[in-house]
Amino acid sequence: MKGAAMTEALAVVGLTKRYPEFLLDGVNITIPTGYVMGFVGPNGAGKTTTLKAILGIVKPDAGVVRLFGGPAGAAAVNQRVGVVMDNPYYPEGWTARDVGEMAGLFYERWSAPGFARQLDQFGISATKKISELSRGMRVKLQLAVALSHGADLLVLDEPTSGLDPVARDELRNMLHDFVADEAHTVLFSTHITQDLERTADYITLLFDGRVVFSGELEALSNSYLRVSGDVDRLTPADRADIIGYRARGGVFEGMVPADKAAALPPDLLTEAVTIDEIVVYLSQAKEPSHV
Amino acid sequence: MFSPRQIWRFVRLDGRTVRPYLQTRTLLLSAAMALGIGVATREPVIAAAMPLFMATTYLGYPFLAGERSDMDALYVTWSIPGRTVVLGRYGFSFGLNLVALLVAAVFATPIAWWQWAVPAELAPALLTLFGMVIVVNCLQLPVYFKLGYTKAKGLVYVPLLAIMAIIVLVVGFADRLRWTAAVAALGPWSLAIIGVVVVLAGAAGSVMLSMRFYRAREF
Repeated sequence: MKGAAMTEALAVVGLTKRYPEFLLDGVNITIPTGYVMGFVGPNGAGKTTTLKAILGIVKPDAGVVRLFGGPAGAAAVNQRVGVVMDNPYYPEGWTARDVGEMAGLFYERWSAPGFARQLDQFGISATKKISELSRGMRVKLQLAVALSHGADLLVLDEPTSGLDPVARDELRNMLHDFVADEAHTVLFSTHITQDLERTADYITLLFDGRVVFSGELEALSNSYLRVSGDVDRLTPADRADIIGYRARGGVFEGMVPADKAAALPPDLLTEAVTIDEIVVYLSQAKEPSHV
Repeated sequence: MFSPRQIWRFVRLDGRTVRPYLQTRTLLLSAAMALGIGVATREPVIAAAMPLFMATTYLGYPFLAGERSDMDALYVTWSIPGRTVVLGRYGFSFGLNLVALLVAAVFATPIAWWQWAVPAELAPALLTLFGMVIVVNCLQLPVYFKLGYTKAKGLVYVPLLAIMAIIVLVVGFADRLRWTAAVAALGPWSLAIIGVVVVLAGAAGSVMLSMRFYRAREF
């Protein structure tokens, strides 16, 4: 971990938003300045709603969002936030040059030469329309804007979904470069957990509008173990502790919280789990438990 | 904080948003149609009315483009306060009407020279049309801000049709309506002052309503 004096780039406390068929239920997230947080959950878990509330686009019913100590959506706060959404909020008929010229009207720290350099580096033609850009190029264009207005916090919503492995690797490297100076912070939502294992310092897991884990990535990996063995070796109490329990041909497999693994019969096989497996097991559990 | 500079920037942003929709072919076709109808009817006011009322259709384009690309969310991420969005959109609408007024004058003036004994009468006619279009816009904009383009697009033509119906009724039944004589007796300057006051008061009310509606919306 980086420097000792940690300030919070982002603090989300008790964020609640009710929709007729969905409840974002008391979300808590904290990111210290200079770190990358992965925000993981299946589709429909509430990731985009949370990010929109952080950006001030969605108004919460309860809870507080503070960025750099200021309220979400405040103009001075959003000046410091770079946004990369799943699909950019730019009109399809605009060119990359239009995006730069218009963004430059509203960002106080805008650098037009910087934007031209970023476009050049990303291989985006300034005269290309948004409608003509591939998904990867659209992500890069938004990154170019974020890097040209001196953003201190990058908020990315599913930037890697739909990208090929090369483009995903490029994006991961860009994020690494971005946080290299320790003054920059990244919140990165995804359902492709492999992206996080190489990029994130912290991770928040969101299921059905509730945070089931928020903390250091390493702590999450150490929180669970995969367990498998004969079904008849399990007592009902053991089975109740197993998350995502599946049995086939007399053999079961699932995941247990690490602190409960010691209580299981010693002849069961326990192994480390990947983030991907944790997400899968938790999503198979009817009621994911908080860690 | 009220910042004319920010509002002007937003007007430019709206202009850039609408630009892809303004195709030269469509504009030339519309111009030819307006001129053609003006020449055919030999009525300069009709030639002038066409561009002005056509401008009201372009008013919906920033809302359309905004809805298609979630631009209201973009405004938030670009640190543009909701108040600037509303005032900027009114500014854009006013600018659009000014351009339309200019085009209207260009179209109507030769027809007025050709048809009217006193072409100077064209100026009050143009300004009256301009005021009417502003009133229509002031009725339309809060509806767009409240409902967004898709839900509002049918409703926003109601004020336009209502104003047209009122004009037809007033012109058609002017001799039977007692108050029209009283209004005519006020004289042109009094009428102009009353008109300006009504337009300004309507615009102020419309802006306040739009701000309230826009503040309540989520994107």
